[in-house]
Order: sequence, then structure tokens, then C-alpha cells
Amino acid sequence: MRDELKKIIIRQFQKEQGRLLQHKDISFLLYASRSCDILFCFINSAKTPRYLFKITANKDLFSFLKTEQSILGELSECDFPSISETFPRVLGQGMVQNHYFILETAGQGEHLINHICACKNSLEQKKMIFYKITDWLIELHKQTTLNPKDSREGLLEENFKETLALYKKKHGLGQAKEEKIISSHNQVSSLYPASAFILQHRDFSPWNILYNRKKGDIFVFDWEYGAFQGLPLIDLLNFAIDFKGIISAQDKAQKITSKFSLSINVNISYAGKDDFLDAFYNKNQYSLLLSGCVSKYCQEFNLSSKSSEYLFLLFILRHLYREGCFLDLFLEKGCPFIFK
Amino acid sequence: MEQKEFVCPLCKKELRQEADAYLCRECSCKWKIKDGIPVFLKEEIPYWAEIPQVEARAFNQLAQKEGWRKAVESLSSQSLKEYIFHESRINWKYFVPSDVSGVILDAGSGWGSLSFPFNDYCEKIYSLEPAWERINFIKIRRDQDQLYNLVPVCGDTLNLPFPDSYFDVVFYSGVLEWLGTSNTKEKPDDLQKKALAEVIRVLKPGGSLYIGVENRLAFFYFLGVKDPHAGLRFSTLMPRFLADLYSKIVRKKSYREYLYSYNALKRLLKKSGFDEVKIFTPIPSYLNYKYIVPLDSGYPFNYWLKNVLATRIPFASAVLRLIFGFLKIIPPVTLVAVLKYFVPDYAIIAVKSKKQ
Repeated sequence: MRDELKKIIIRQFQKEQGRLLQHKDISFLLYASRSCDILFCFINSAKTPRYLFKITANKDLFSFLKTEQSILGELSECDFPSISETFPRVLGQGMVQNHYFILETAGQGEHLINHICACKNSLEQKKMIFYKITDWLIELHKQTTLNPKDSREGLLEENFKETLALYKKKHGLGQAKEEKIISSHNQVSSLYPASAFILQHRDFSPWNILYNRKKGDIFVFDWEYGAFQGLPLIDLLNFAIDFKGIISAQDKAQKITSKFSLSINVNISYAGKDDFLDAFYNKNQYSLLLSGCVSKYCQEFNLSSKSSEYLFLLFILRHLYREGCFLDLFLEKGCPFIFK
Repeated sequence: MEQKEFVCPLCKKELRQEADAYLCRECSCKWKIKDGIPVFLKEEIPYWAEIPQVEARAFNQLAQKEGWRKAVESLSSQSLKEYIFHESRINWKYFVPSDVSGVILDAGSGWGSLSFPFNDYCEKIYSLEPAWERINFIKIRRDQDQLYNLVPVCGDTLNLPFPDSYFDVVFYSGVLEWLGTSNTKEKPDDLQKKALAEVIRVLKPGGSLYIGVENRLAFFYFLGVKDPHAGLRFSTLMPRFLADLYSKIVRKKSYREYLYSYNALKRLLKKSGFDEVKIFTPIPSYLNYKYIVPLDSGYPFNYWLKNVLATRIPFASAVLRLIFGFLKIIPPVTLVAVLKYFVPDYAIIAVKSKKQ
């Protein structure tokens, strides 16, 4: 299989650069991710990969790759001068020995987690990241807002039902809580703007973002969970909770691990209850920063406070690494500070 | 009826299938078929597995009666449960030059945790295992899932019951280091060479062998971590004769669980007749990895270090952060040239010459 994959790379490289590669000039590094296998392709002793294959033979996972291909394909056809270099380009797709693959451009830069941790004590640097992320999301979502002509009845309902089903599958849900949630949905659904649907990434977190210090730009990858008729604001909230989780995990690591130990925190930074409260409910530097960004975002999309609170509920239900207690906290405390 | 997929494991001549056995025309050896599984062993091999034999038998009975999934769920050993279910251990297939959709041999298949995932991609896969309870489980699972391109065979990696040039890919995951324990009359490395010679014989020209194995010089052995095979500290770092003496004193038996270093593995495979030998490191281990990183070029390893491991380092102790800070300043080529000798495990792809 290796040689067939290398032939694809050689063809692509020749198309771009007009010259041939030898097989020995290509190296692969494999990452077995949740949804597919990723082969990073290094060419001619380059320090960073030039391409990557996303590949799987699992038929259940084909749909994720096809979603990513479709979304990136549509994005590349749109005219986004300010963000056109901030997501992968799909260069090809096909089948190799019963495996479905897509070939993409690889991003340049360091992992955003590293950058966040590097600017640990610098509030200015953290603000800069947040503003950059917020502006990027605003730009992307503005450009991919659903045309009112394309909107259809029941879109919000579909999003809501799918989200609720995901939550129930993971955590289970008591009848009383479910009734409260459905009641919130019913209160908002008639008021929700018909065209407030955007291209939602749905896994928007520091893990899926690279940061290029030289250009001061981000690169967002892993679009396999994306949806064109998704809901606004949720990507920003996802980012915020994961960002908070990373900062907290770093603080804990600094305090707890002894100077002479060889310990490493392998399961980093899935935000816990305290992170959730600090990010959204308690008044502190972080929540004030987030509040500013959320306010800017909501103004851009004319989201009322009711709609924002509803979207916050859906964020809790949908967040991939959510803890069950987040919902309880929301139902207990109501509208978060960041929306006030 | 003549049977071409199997040959006599001893004389390599054709077999004739009878009602419940295969008969060798040349040497007249009879190889029984037990519960639908051909058994190519002259004598039963002493049981060895992760769970006691009594438990393994009960496990198979439960699998037969209530389904293999339920039987696996009921296992007391969490690690064995995960080992059987986990499927990402076949991602090394992308590094294999030959056709992974052809005819495959899983030599030393254990409970089938590589055979079953591979079954979805290939034309036919033979699952070879000497321990009866394990190969019986594989057959039970095969039958229940109706995966009839998977052929369970009870046999020995030192005497493969397959014809010459039959397989596109052979895999040896967690097998090489145990070959020396199968027969105490021959030297362990001779047994390993014999097994590799058998692999060369059954591979098609251009076919590939995949090996997953621990590194003799893995850095943690220097810190006193016990070798999981022999159960001894520092034994992998000693010259073989010294490790043997140490083992006889401590364990009252010879040291036969031979591991190899990076260079020694390359030499062993080249001498066995493999043309091309590529070595990778599966991280964290070949049994359950997230990454496979090539070791012949510095840049992928360096990229992994700086982009993957680096995302974990801020959450590590001060000692690790210091070590990592030092590693970052070393040029990539130098870094991998040194570190490749001390990584925990190796994943190796060895290719038989197309001219053989």
C-alpha cells in the first residue's frame, strides 16, 4: 500500500512543482486518530509535512471523511481573502486497496496548545489569541451564513433533536431535566432568526488549531464533524472551555508535580466543573475576556440574550468532552455571567 | 482430494485431505483436523496465555454458548479485554509496500486481535497459533461473525504448513522474542533465524514481513525496569552469556527471550534474506500505539517531538521540561541518530527481494 500512496504524492507534487520525486524522498508519519488514520507526508527532508492523507477502510468512518471533503471543497470555492489560507485544501480523493482517502495540504505552525502554554503569564498574549479566534469565527460564520432563501422549517428542531440525542446517549437524562430543556427550546424556537445558521466546525478547540508566529495566523483543521447548517456561537464557547481547561491543567502540573519526578499529565485539560464555573459564571479576568468576545460575536449576528442563552444550553449538551455536571450547573444557575 | 493451501510442515510436500486429517504423501505424517481446525503440531505445546488454561477453556465455552462478545466482556483481565477489542494495531499496513488486500499470514496470532481487523481488507488471512484455546476462540469468533476468509490453523512458526511463495504479507507481532522458548535444545537465535527462513520461504517475491517487538536497549531498561519477557532487570543490556548465567541463578532456567537492538535487527533480517528493512517506532508501544514514526529520517521524528510530545510537556514535571528543552536544541538528524537506539519498541517492515 505504501507504494501506491507514494505514487499519489509524486503525481500531486509533479502537478504543483513540475518535477518528479523519487520514492525515497517521501516519508510518512502515522497518527491513528479517533475518526481515521492520518499520514503526514514529508518530502525531501523538509522539517514540516507538505501533505497529509486522511484514510480509513472502516465504512462507518467514511462519512466523516466525506463530510470533511465536502466542507473543505465548498470553503475553497468561496471568496474569503482574509481567511483563505487558514484551512486545508483538498487535493484529491479516492480508493486504495479498499481504503478511502482524501489528500490535503498540511498546515504550518506550532500547535496552539504550545503557544497558549508558552504565554502562560501573559494576559495580553491570551487576549490576542482570543481576539484572533473570535475575529476568525466571525469572518467564517458571516461568510457562511445560510441564505434566507435556502432556510427551511424545522432546521433548528433538527439541530436540537440531534444534540439532545447525543447527550442522552452519553449521560442519560431524567424526565424532569428533559422537560426543562424542551421547554427552553420551545420558548426560543419561534424567536430564533430563520437564517442564523452557519458553517459550524463542531470540534473547535485548541487541539485542532495551529498557530504561525511569523505570520500571526491560525490554521484550523479536522473538519470531519462540521455542518453547513450549524448553529452560531457554539464553536466559540467550545474553544473557551477547552482553553480554560488547558490553563488550569498547566497550573495544576506546575504546583503538584515534584521537581524530581518524571511524571507527565497524559490526559490533559478536559475542563472540569471549576473550569466551567470560572469560564462562564464567576467574574474573573478570563470570564471578562470571554464576555467581551462573546458580546462582539453576538452583536455581529444579532443574537438576542434569549437566543444566546439557548445556544449556551446546546453547547453544554453537545460539547464532545462535556461532563454531566455542566448541565446541572446551568439548570441550577441559569444564564451565565458572560451573557449579562 | 489434494489440498494446495497447506503442505506438510516437516517435509513441505503436498498433502492429501481425508475425513478428519491431512496426510503427507511423502513422509506419511498424519495431521489431524480437530473441530474444523487443522492441527500441524506433532505434540501439544505447553499452554501459555494471559489467563490460566482453566479460565481459557471456560471462556471458550461461554463464547460458544452466549457469543464471543459476551465472553470477552466477562473476562476479569481488563488488559486482555482491551487487547482483543482494540483495532488500531494494524495501521502499520500503510507502510507495507506489498498488497495488503491479498493473502496474509498472522503468525502467532494469539487471540486474533490482528487477524480480525485485517480480515476486512484482504482476500484471505491465515491465523496461525500453537495454543489450542486461543485458536479455538478465533474459530468460534470467525464462525459467529461469518468471516470465512479467515482460516484458523493450529501450528508452529518454526514449521509453517504453507507452500512456497504463498503470502503477500506475514506478520509477527510480539512473536520474535518468544521463539527461543519453543525448543530448549537449540540456541534461541538459531530458532529465530529458522523462523525467519520459513517466512522468506512462504512470502511471495516482493512480499513483506511486519514485526512488532520491544527494543533490547529501550531507555527504561537502563533505569531498572524489568524485561516483561524474562522478568529480570538489566538482562537485555547484558551480553547473552551473562544474561543466561543471571537467569539460571534467579529463575533457575536459561535466558532465551532474545531481544535485539536497532542495528542487530537490521543485520538479522538482512542475513535472513530480506532486501529492504525499514524500522519505525510505534508510540507508546507496538501493542497499542497512537503514532508510528520512521527512524531513517530525522525530520518526521523531530516533528513528532516538537508538535506532539510538546503538547504534553507543559503538563509535565520540571525534570521532563528540562530534558525536553535540551532535546529541542539538538539538530533533527543528530537527535534521531541517537534516540533511535533507545526508543521502547520497534515496528519493522522487511521486504523479500522480487528476484528471489
